[in-house]
Amino acid sequence: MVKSIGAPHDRIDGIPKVTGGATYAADVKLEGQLYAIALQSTIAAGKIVALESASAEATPGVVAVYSHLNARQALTWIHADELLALSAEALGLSAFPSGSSRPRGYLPLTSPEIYFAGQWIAVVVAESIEAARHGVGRIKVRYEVDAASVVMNDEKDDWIEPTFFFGADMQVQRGDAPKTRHGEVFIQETYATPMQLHQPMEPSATTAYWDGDDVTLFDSTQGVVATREYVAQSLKVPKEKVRVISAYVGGGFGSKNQVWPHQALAAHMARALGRPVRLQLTRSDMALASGHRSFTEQDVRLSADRDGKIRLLQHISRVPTSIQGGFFEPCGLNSLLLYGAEELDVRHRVSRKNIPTPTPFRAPGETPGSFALESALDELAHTLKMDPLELRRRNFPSRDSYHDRDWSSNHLLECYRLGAAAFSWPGRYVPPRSIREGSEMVGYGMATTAYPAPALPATVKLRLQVQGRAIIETSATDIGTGMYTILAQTVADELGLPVSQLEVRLGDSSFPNAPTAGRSKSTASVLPAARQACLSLREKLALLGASYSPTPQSNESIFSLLEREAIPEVVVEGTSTGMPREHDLSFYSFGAHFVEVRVDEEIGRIRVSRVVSALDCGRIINPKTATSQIKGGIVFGIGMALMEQGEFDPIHSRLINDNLADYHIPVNADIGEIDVIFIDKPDTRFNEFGARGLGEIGVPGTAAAITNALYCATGKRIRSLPATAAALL
Amino acid sequence: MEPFEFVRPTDIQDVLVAIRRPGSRILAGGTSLVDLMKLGVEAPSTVVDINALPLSMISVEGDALSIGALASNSDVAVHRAVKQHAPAVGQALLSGASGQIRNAATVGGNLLQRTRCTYFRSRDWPCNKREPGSGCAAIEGVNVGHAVLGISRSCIAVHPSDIAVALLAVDAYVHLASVAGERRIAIGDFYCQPGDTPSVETVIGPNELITKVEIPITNLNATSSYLKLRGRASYEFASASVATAILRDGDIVIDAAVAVGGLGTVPWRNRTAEKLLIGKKLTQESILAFCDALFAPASATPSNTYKLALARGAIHRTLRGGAEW
Amino acid sequence: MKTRVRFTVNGDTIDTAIDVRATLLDFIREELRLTGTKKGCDHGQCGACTVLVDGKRSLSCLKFAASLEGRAVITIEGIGKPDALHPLQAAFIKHDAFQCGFCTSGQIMSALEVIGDPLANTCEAISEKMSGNLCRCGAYPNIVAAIMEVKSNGTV
Repeated sequence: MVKSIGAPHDRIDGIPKVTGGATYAADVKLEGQLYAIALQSTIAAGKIVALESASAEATPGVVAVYSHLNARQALTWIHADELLALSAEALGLSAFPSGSSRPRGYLPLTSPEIYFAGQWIAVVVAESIEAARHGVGRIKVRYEVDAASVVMNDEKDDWIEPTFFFGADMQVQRGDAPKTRHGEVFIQETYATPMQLHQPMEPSATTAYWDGDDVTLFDSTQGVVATREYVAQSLKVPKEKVRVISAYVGGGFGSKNQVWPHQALAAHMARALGRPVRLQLTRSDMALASGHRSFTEQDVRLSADRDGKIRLLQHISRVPTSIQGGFFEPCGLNSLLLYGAEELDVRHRVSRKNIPTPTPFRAPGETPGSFALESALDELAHTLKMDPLELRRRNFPSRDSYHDRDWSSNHLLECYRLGAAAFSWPGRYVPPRSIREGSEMVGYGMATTAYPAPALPATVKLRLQVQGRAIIETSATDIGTGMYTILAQTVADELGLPVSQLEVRLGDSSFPNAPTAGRSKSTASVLPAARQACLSLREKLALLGASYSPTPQSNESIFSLLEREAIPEVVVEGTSTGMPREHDLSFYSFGAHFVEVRVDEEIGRIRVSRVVSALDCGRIINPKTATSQIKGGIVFGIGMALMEQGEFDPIHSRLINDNLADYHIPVNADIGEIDVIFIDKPDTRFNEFGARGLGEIGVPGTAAAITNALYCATGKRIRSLPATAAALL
Repeated sequence: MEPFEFVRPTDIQDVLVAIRRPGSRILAGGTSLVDLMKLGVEAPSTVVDINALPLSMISVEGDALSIGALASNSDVAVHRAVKQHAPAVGQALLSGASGQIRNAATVGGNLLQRTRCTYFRSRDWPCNKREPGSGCAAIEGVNVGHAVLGISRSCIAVHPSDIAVALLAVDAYVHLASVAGERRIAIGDFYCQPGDTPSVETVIGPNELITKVEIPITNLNATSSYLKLRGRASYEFASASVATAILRDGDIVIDAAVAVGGLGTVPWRNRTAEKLLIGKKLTQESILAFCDALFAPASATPSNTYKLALARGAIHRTLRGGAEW
Repeated sequence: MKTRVRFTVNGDTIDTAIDVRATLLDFIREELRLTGTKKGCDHGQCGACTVLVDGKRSLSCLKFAASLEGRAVITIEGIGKPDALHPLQAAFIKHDAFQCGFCTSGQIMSALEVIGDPLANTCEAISEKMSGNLCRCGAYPNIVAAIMEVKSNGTV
């Protein structure tokens, strides 16, 4: 039988997705269901002094209006530390030194205080979407306005120095840095990245209904287990009473990674009103009520010898968080690992701003950090008149010097080699503005990408049924990653069954626990659990007297065995252990992006015409879905490089492009040729599959590779994204 | 969204009567009106659906090309007569919005499209266009996409239409009907600069309906073309756009029309500046002189001054027709 | 305020009094329970709600259902079934032209027009014509490949 793992299997969730049959959270409509829409604050700081909802309440079809005036009593909606500890507000708070006053996080509808523009201040529940929208438009609010700030100021801001975040010290100084100047060539520049919005195509939604004491949420989340914990805590009910279902999730990219208040709010409203409630975020809410990637400012200083050996790497990040939350971009993560400078100075400073709480967004930290680091390397290469690829080769980190560990597996040099060959990388120094084709200037750029390979314990349930099929259940979600498919492939190989005989059920908190789909950890967490379940099944079948081997012939006897013994179903579970404990190693994925850009300077037209990315993500379980995921990461990088930018009104400190017409993400015509190459060498010290996750690694480095190519094409260095025509010309 | 009365007359006279009701709005393709009603920017008490009217004909009538007000952007864009007699119009339409929107949007509706200014599109901001006298948030706000031509202290909102720019270059006429009768207005006289009354965007009266657009069939118009520049490759409003038409005798320009979009509070054209091109060869210098005259009244902010550079580049590119100097 | 309207959806006649404010999108999703058509932005900026109206792709979020008198609407549910996929649906699976799947109905409904468009005969032209359908997962090259395959096979 042909091995399923490693084969480019079509997605097994393909048919429901192409026929409209896949049910997302807002596709559920229950008997008597109500619709809820929120109203946003128009000011960025201050207080609500009057909120007039009588007219909204009197609107035909409106059932209820909730605000800080009545939510506590009517919904038992209460701001509590143990709840906030489970929320998106809390992530990062532990990194703040205990000396600094610890904020309490924000929960909408609990006080008249306003911390950022767009904060939810009321929610209207109605019989129809039309009536809810009508009601929202009729609420009148008066504010007392305070001064707000959404811009960082190096001198005036009250900077906090965070301690430990994302597995790393946020204040690292190694060697004599920054006091000494070791090398002969220096680069010192400041790089800036703008606020970015996740904007998954599916706006988050929660449809909640109660059946007696039990509540079920049809939700759009990357993690149903974490959501259940939060919602149960909020409702003050045992978590067994809460079921969260996210069988299909229309993209997340981090915006559905943490738990946000709306998920519990829907359940509170459904309980209070005795009817199912659907609370769907508007596109604007997606920009303001489910996190974002904050803007960053990063100073990078490199010092190197004439031969390109980097002696000093200094990377100081200034990043914001919200008034009440904790998350900030840990930009320096890759600077700790790559290029092995003996003098290292990687620090972070955080300032509180009147912005919504930022949250992880596809490679948080690494993505903006790589823009700065990989741009600075390119600047160094140009200063040395050296091939930027050769510069990186000369600074290859043969081990993880920050953690003082060897890599479990590191094929970065092979990524450089294969990527360069596929791209036809020049392999010599190309001076800027040296390639013209017709009206276009052509440029080449490259950058390194790296991302950790984490894993957490997960459990998978396997049910072998006498009818001749196997059901696989785990709470993990498939947010577009391909989890449905690779789980089926794994079990197919272990049991010798065709994928068509398997049914995978995901995204239900009543299934065995698996971690939230984020931080590229699902593959390495869930697949080993599935294998354990298969091993348990074999043992159990052996006890029943079946001599089991994973071949198609024997399977017939398994099913006939079940039939003969009158056993309708055999159920087993398998649990994985998370990170391997037997090795003291650093587990990372690596890669290199090679980019060609074309710039028509006269008319300001900038195009990324060609991308080749070569990646070392261990063994590839499904090259088809894996390639798609990397391409998607590269498309994110193209958006980041050329167009994405959340902008605040300078007077009112309010995000002005909270929609898809003004916040530009790439369209089909923006995307040229993308070629993805996998090294495909198993990292057997990581797990028995040798597979590492690959949800994020396509993103870091891509933007820098593009702006590096733009420098090569035009001689103009873009240090502040995005690289628009206005910035370039 | 407040409830409204929905009427769907099948006869043009009934439409003309219906639109006399105060607070009525005409619904054609809906791509603008439905959007703005959801945003609360438009709140008509009566919506008059005119889709039952027979106003979607595209035809050659004598020495003019006639396009019915209800002709869809898609149909107009690919129509043979449009491609032949006014290629800029077809190209402008195809560069606008998306295939889905072009199928629904009509030529009449497109001419009345409202600005995409963020501050206009939400009731949360002051905006003199939406709410006269409330102020303009854009002047001190984020105005990277705002107008540099025809602005006033009351409004710097840019006109969003592509087709209006092309129609301005080909000297089109807009036909209007009301219960009082019909009239015809040159497109160059159709739009109003904001001045102190940015809420008044066109000369169309409250009781008037656009019935058709008429494009003169001329040798000049047959040479027209449209170039649109924008940040992403598609599905975005213009950073700058230019519709040009040039007639030459050998190397010498004998007639020229250049209209610019994405820069003005209204589609922009300057016939006096165009005279600088007549009787000359198209050289770097002659085009530069033309651009200097065309953009002399421009007033840019630091964040939108790039639009002038883009428009100049676009004019150079289109006038020179891709030839190397 | 309600008004009476009569039109067809996937061949079925709808003859009902509806809230004048209801968009076609909300009507087909909430009243007809055809939820394959998605609400991505509700303002004509993403293409997820694309359906065919009289055979032409159209954004259902920018149409009042009341304005559809006499029209014929086709949604994703009307073009193929799980056991009898439309060639485009099969090609989308084969070329992995989606990841999360949320924009997919709109992509396919939009592509239905593009496969019949004689002007869309290069990857570049298809890419431009599909630019009204955003995909945040970045499946764009695969979407173009799927459409190109159906066009070149002449299966429609």
